[in-house]
Amino acid sequence: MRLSQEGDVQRYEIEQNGRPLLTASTDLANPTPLTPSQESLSRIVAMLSQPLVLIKNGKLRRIDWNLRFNSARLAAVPADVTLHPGFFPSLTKPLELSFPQMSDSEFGAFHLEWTFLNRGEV
Amino acid sequence: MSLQNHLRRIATIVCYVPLVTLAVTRFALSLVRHPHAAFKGTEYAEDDPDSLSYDGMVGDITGTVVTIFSGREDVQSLLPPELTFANDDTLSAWLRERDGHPVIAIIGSNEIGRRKRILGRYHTVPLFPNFLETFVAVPYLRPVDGAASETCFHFARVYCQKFWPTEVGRLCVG
Repeated sequence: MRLSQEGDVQRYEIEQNGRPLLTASTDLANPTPLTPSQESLSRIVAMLSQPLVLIKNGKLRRIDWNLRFNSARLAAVPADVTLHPGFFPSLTKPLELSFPQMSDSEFGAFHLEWTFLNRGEV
Repeated sequence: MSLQNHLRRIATIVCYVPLVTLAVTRFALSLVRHPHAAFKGTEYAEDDPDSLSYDGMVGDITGTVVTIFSGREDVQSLLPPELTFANDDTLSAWLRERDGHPVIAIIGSNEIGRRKRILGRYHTVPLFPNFLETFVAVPYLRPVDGAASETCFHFARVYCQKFWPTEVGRLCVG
């Protein structure tokens, strides 16, 4: 995994077995502040507020994982993401996705800084 | 001076003084590293679920979040056999109108630590230096043998840059 920054643009790369799996770039030049009540964001908050289930040794474990969106610093930013073969097992060629910033588009991209809590298994 | 007093004095010197010195040093270091956090009042009541006034794990994430809508076959291929898609009648109305299932990628860096009460205040004791980490979350799932009305989300993939956080994560949460 690598993170590099050129000016306001952050580039991120995940490799697996020497091959790229996901590459992404985010332009942080003009972030637009967001609140969790923004319509699209509220849907993401709702999805990530469902109970977290992880699997350990074949057993389901419900984890009390609190994302504390109300305390997070949130800003809409544009992002470009390329999923490479292997990200989804069925993906055979790179899939390029462009996300406008969330303030301009439903399910656009956003940047966050937050502290999450993990209270362990419930 | 009795033998008991001698022993007490020795125990004090051997144990108490170093422990207090350690606690004071850690608190002083936290003041230097995070002066605002150290003097900030409690942000939430202790019984508030968002409160950081508790003993347990925390993580500071900085990153970008994107939501990818992909075909159910693609998303299913990310899932373990114990999980499947939530029943349609439990999905939100907006999701029923969309093609594809959401996959939320949180791409960034993380610094995990443990909240500890030191000298009456909660502080985060870092467990590992900051590392790159990406979470791939799939919401609107349910356990295969769970109730039909149940919904949950699952980290289908977590890509972690460093060896030790990866191994500790595997050990603790699978």
